[in-house]
Amino acid sequence: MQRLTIDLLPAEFKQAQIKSSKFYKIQSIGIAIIGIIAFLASLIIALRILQSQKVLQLQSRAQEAEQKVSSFKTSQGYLLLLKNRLSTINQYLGTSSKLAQVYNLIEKLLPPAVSISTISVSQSGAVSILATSSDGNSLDLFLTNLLSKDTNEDKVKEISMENLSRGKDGIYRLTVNIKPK
Amino acid sequence: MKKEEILKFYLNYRVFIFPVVTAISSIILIFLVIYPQALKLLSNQKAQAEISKRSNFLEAKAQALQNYDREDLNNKVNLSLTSYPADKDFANVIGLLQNLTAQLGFKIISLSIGGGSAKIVNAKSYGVKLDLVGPLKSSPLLINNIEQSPRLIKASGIETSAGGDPNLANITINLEVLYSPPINSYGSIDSPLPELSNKDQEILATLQSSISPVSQTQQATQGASIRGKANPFQ
Repeated sequence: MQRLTIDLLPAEFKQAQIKSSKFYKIQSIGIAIIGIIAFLASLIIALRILQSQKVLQLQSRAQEAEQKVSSFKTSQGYLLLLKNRLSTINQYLGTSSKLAQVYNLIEKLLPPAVSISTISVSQSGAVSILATSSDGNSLDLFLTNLLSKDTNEDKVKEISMENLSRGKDGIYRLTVNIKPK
Repeated sequence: MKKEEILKFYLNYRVFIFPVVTAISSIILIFLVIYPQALKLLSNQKAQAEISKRSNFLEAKAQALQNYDREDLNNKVNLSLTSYPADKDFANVIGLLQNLTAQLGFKIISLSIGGGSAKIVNAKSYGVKLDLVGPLKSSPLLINNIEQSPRLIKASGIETSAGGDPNLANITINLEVLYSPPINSYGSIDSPLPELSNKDQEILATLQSSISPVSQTQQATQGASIRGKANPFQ
């Protein structure tokens, strides 16, 4: 059975109803947005207050630690001075200079029959030797030792022989310059 | 009359007026409260992390400094200054050279002190020229002993010439004796604390073992003190 519906409401009233229901929807959405934004604002402000308190706490902790460190200033000074000295000492203590190494090498390679008249070693390790010997083979051995990588410990870069002479007395005189590596 | 007109206007256009007012107040809240506060929150977060880091660092530094014995540190500093002093220590070096040369049978003919030329950052040096007479065979050992001594000395030149006696030679040794003026800055509160490494401890142990016997023997032998003999050329 079909139902009969008769709309007796005036058209103006219906329009006003539709308009006001639309407004209530807009109103509730607007209030919700404002509410959410106000909640966010208060949340952020609360977080800021908590953060400020935390920062203050940390600052006082840092200040306390600062005072503690200040009271050990002498120890810090000693430690820095010690470290400063030790870094240089570490560089030089127990190490031989190039000069000493070359000088040691020459003394080691010198055959017993060869005697040194003069020897001078510069800071860079450059050596100038005037050696004498009655035995030519010993001088030869000395030069061979200086030239051979097996015996010169790879410390010799260049050897230049300035003079080699043999006197009436049968003694060889050798002047040699050595450049270290 | 005016009030009624406004009310009427609002009732007619409230569908538009309300969202506009809501939007404007939201924007005002966002730009005047939320945005600046959020920015501050973020920047303070960084500041907080930095303060926290600094605080932790200072606490650790204070703890580390507390663990150091001041007396022990002072002794170690004195030990390092014996090896590498803050100023020219002529007397100590002359005494040391006298000992080292005498031990190997060398005789000091002359000893002169001059300017240095060490090319080391933050370090200075003065030169010592030693004229000696002694066994040629022992000269490498002498140079070695000088360079390996606890006092930082480096040879910068050697000249040897044979003397009348085949076993003796005239030796001239130029030495660079290192020293360094004390550092001006002893570090700020925030500067990191240097740590003594194992290598540093080894060096200190070496210095301790090599300096103590020397100074003891110096005092014991021939009444010579660390300042050397009354006549250093005898």
